[in-house]
Amino acid sequence: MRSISFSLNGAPVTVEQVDPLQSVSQWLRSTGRTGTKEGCAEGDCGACAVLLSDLDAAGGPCWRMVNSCLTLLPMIDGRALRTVEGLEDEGGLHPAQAALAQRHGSQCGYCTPGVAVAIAEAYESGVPATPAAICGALDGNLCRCTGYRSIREAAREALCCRDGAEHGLMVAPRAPRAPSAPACGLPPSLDLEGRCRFLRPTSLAELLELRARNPEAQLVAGGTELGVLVRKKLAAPAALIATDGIAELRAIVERDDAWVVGGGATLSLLEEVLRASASATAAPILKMLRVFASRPIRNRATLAGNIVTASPVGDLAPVLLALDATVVCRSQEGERRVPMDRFFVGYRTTALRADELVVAVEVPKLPAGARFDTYKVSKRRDLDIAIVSAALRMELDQAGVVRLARLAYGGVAAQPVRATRAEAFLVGKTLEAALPDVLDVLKSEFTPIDDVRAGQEYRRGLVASLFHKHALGVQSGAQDEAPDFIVAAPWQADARSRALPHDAAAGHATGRALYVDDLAQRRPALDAWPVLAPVARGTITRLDTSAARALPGVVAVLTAQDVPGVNDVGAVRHDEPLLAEGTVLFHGQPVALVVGESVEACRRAAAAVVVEVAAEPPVIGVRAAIAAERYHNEPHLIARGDVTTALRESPHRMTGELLTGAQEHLYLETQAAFAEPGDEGDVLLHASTQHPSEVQAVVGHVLDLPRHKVVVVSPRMGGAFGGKETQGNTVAALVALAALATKRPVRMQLERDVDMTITGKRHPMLATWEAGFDDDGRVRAFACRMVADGGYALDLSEAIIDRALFHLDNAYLFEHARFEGRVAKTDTASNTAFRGFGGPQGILVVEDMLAQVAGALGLPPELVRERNFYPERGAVTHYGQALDDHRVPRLWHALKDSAGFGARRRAVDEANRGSPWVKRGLALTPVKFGISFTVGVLNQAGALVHLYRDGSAQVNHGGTEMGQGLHAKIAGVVMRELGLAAEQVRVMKTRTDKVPNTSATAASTGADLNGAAVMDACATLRARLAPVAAELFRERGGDADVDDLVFLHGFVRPSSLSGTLQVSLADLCEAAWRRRVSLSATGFYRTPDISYERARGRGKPFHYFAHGVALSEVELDGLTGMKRVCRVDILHDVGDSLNPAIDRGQIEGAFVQGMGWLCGEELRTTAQGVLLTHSASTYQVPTIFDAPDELHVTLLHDAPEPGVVHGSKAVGEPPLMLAIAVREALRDAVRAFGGAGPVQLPTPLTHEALWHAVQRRRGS
Amino acid sequence: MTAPDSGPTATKRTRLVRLLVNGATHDVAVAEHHTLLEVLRYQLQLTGTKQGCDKGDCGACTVLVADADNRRAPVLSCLTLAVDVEGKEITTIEGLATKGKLDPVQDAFDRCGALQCGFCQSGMMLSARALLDENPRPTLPQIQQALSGNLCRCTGYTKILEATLLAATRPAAAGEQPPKEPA
Repeated sequence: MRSISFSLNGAPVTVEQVDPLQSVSQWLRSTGRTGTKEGCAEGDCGACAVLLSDLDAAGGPCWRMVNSCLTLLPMIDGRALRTVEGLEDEGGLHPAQAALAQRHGSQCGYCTPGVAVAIAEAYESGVPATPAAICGALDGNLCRCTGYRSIREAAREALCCRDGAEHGLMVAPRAPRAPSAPACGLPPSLDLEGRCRFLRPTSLAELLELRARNPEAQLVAGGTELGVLVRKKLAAPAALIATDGIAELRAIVERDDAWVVGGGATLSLLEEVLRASASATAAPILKMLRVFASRPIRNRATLAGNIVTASPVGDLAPVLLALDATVVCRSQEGERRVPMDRFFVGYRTTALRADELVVAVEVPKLPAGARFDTYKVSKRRDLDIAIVSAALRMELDQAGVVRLARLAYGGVAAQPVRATRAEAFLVGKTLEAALPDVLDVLKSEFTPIDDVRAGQEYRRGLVASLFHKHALGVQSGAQDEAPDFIVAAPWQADARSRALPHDAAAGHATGRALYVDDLAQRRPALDAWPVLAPVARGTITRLDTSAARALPGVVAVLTAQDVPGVNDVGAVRHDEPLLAEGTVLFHGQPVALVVGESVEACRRAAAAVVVEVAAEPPVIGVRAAIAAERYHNEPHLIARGDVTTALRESPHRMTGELLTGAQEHLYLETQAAFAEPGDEGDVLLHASTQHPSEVQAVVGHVLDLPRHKVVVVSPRMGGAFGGKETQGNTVAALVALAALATKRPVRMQLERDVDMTITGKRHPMLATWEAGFDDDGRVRAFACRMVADGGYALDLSEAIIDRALFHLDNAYLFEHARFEGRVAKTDTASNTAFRGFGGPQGILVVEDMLAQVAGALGLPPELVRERNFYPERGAVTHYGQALDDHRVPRLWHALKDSAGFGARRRAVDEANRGSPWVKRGLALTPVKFGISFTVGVLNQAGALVHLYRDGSAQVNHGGTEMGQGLHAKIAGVVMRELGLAAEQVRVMKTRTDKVPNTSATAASTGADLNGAAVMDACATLRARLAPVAAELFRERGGDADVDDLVFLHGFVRPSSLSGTLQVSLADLCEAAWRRRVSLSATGFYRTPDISYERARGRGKPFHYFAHGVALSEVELDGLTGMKRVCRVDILHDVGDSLNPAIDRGQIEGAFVQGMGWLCGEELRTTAQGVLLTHSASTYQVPTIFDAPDELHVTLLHDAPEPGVVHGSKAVGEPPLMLAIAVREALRDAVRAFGGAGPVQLPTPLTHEALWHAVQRRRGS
Repeated sequence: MTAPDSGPTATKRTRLVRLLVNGATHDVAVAEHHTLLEVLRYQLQLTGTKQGCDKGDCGACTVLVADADNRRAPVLSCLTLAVDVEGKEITTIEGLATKGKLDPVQDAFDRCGALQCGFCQSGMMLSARALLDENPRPTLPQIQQALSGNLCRCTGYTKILEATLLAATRPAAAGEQPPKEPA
């Protein structure tokens, strides 16, 4: 058989010539069903989520969300599939979709189809509208934009709508729906041929026979491990035998003394059974399940599958070990019962024989009074692999003497193990008697390894401290308690033009919004895959593409020799070869490009390209570059006063050093571009870029084409954050080159690992500083040298280090300052723009310095900060810009009052006194951020506005939409400028043939620059329309003055007349056309009065400043280093907001992204320059649990900024730095563990780093 | 969209067919009822061959198909099932120029300005090429006869006839097979 059948969104589908190893997501997308996205291809982001029919614990049909990227096509044979396109019905949007669209639950929208599916699963399957259940339902969906507050509240409203509870959605509730017969039963028998044979027996006898007959075949249940191997490692098993067609394997039976979990039972089913159980043993197992991978994985993965893979970590393996579970194995020979502690026999090996399978796992229930709990420590609490997991069980007698101990751990040895020495030590002693010494036994019981997740010392420490925690009975919100959130207070509605939702809100929620690859999948096109340099530095001695060219499906293999123009994609300095030529400049540098008929053909061919390099030792990291004196540029110096004297005369002096962490953008949509050769030697590119004009320039340069032959469209981006300002150039230039070489359209969306390997990150910067201050904490002098790790090429690093220097003052006045910055050259990918663009690094350094000053003096840090503030007016920055409206003090005092800082400070201190192991921390930090490109020429923008005869308008501007809501803000501006209704305004996709020579949408200036250009075009149109209107009014007997007309709500009327004299825009446009008046106008804007002299370090680089203040409260579990952000209050200054709801989304999203940078995201690179953390599974961005439990954002009211679009201020970047409040609150919590003097903290502040900080503070 | 067999309603029978187009070999999963024109345009993306009427009345879809003796004859691809030309050498307009050099017919059409909108032109030139292969020095009536299956709505035909006459004065790259496409 070569075909499979299933139901797709209610319609029967048969797929012929099935490739059994194709994933459901690949099939959906390649057949034009592009609502389903792919963000990681390994089940770690949830963008690909779809609903699959299944059976619940009661045997009834249900929908389960699964990762379609890991689900192979044959697995859905006979089942029903519901994608985001199938959530809508005749009644319109599903409440899950309506809630996301109406509650600003999407920004870039790339995660949104998956989020909609996740909420829909919760809706259809009766998940209650409680915070814990909602977070649980969404723990498999990453969002990089929103910060999750809007998503969780949207989910709650959708579920309230279902339950008939109070909600504010405009949507008709509908009854939850289960999949309908016949797809809801067990899947039918299947024997599918192809490059992999896929067998699905429907009886155990048949399965055992197949197993015996096909020893090479792999058993597969949910395929969550297999899918990763197929997708990421191109694994191609010869045969697969699925176990999901066998009823008895899928069952879970609850006995009085145990649960018998069938070998094919999913973890979600286990959760359902445990939740309904009266046994006290269920809760600790459920606790571990809650943090086991994610909801969509648990919906497919099985308990048996988790243990047969014998992962050294295996979250559930320690649980089974501690409970003395039994594995029931069966073959045609018969049944064998293997005790759990004999099941694992070594690294990734078990006692299971080749002809056997696990038919069940018996999980005993514990007697009443047993002390049993489970713990998992990971870099991120949800959706992560454990650093150490533990299941700890003790049974004590009446006298408190330990009679039985089972201490089982994962992540500390080659396999999950019990700490038998410690167990033996405990038995016969009371806990009190055993306690100090058993910890030492535990610390030496294992020899765990250092790896990408954590170091040996931390793992060793956790083995002891998790037991300690269990013995003490300590529970923390950070590790043990369920997720929770408080619904933020509702915001008042604004005027329509300031309350527009994101222009694609509904498109995001329905999957209809088309991204670059979605457009490309709708057209016939070749695919491409880059060949990457195997080492970081060296000379290419051999590059042989002949074997690759000969492989099937390969159309071309391109190298630097095939570039007709200049082999360079550098943005500023021409130092970035498109394809390596002669030398290798960083690990992962593209060396060649394979172009072919499928991604897989290209990928296999890429592996066949021979690249030999005479490797040289690379320079990795900023310290190594400083030692080697390798720099991209000369130092930039900004100084005032006399630092040397002021330092000498200061009562106190302090020096410090801080290495700020790198950060990966992890936009959900990886770099993507699609090129179509035109018929005039031209090329049309769709690219996911913040800077279409630069892509145009680069492509012209590479292909030796004049720019008029290159048209670039940036339809929308699935997130960018600076990572698509220059880093998309390579992908766009490669597909353009391939399209011209093959004369066929070529598309490429980078696989996540390739994307992370070849693109730049946020710059790590090494700051060395000295401060002089007085007894009150007033800083008299501050000297700082910052060196940025630029990577192999200059890219934008010079402007980035400049911005770091411009922000080393943050909100503080330093009379004597000397700041020096320079960009180091290392042999890694070229670091690049990332939200804040150096500003965050500068502000982090000054906030770190002030915290240490406060610590040294024993003063409250907020007092030290206050004492150093710039005054509200009259001060001048270190580079000479006057501060005429410094709003930080006003925001600071207002937030302290409104958020109840004083009372909460006392409450936190009080709580900490009674809690030795879990501490709270509280901190307040400000931000002042300069708005403008510091490279002056970039501060210009263009627009093109067309009015049509029906009064509708098409608005084109140079800004790109990456989720920040720019188009909605611009549409609002046009509504006010031309008096149009929302329905009359359409903002078009960004194209270089509509508005030429644009700047990147960056530096938070998108709305400022493009909004002003659009206003200019609108003013031109108004000036042309006004005489026509006046003429019409005179014809009707009125006497209207051309200069006295109001354009409002779709009409034009004289402002001085209250009568009926008015004309609709539609009639006015028609009248203008009849009078042969042009209805199309361009607009232009350049920011006035800015300049900066780099050589002198003086000038006015910024048009104005944006301000904000944040108060954070955290909880820190001192035994594990795990943290929880309990509450955040933000007061932010966006001037008179162009769109408060969108600004709120920017503030919340930037804040959580900043938290990720400071407190969790960690990039690891080897000394050889190989990035180890190049996937969503090894690089942890915040999940829904990491969002603050309470997140209150308030905008400063009545705060117009003169000279900016409708009184507004930029918002994209500034709030990111408010997250420093979380880092400072963690410092406050660490301080509360004891010790004296300043608390030193590294970056990023991972759980491991926090644990070490607490250890140091406790003096152990 | 990729192969039409993967669509939701595609339950039609498909066959793996080896097509030899312009010197390249394509193994294509072809629906048995699909015409050569459909496969050329929608599966191989060779859109130089135009669809003018889809019933053999206009000649815009003309391609050349070689017989066993390697003699190329004009064929209406809209009336030819793709499965029926399996293994035969097919020349489309994309394969008329050889080694980057225009065929004399193309060159002559260019010199004479024998085009306006250009939609009939690929079929017209392939018909002319077939004629010249068979009869290197045709008379005007012979040309009129050979091109009578190709409609042109723009030019009035005069320049097309002139161009074919001009092409006949130049030697074709005689007997030369189209080169393999660069890998």
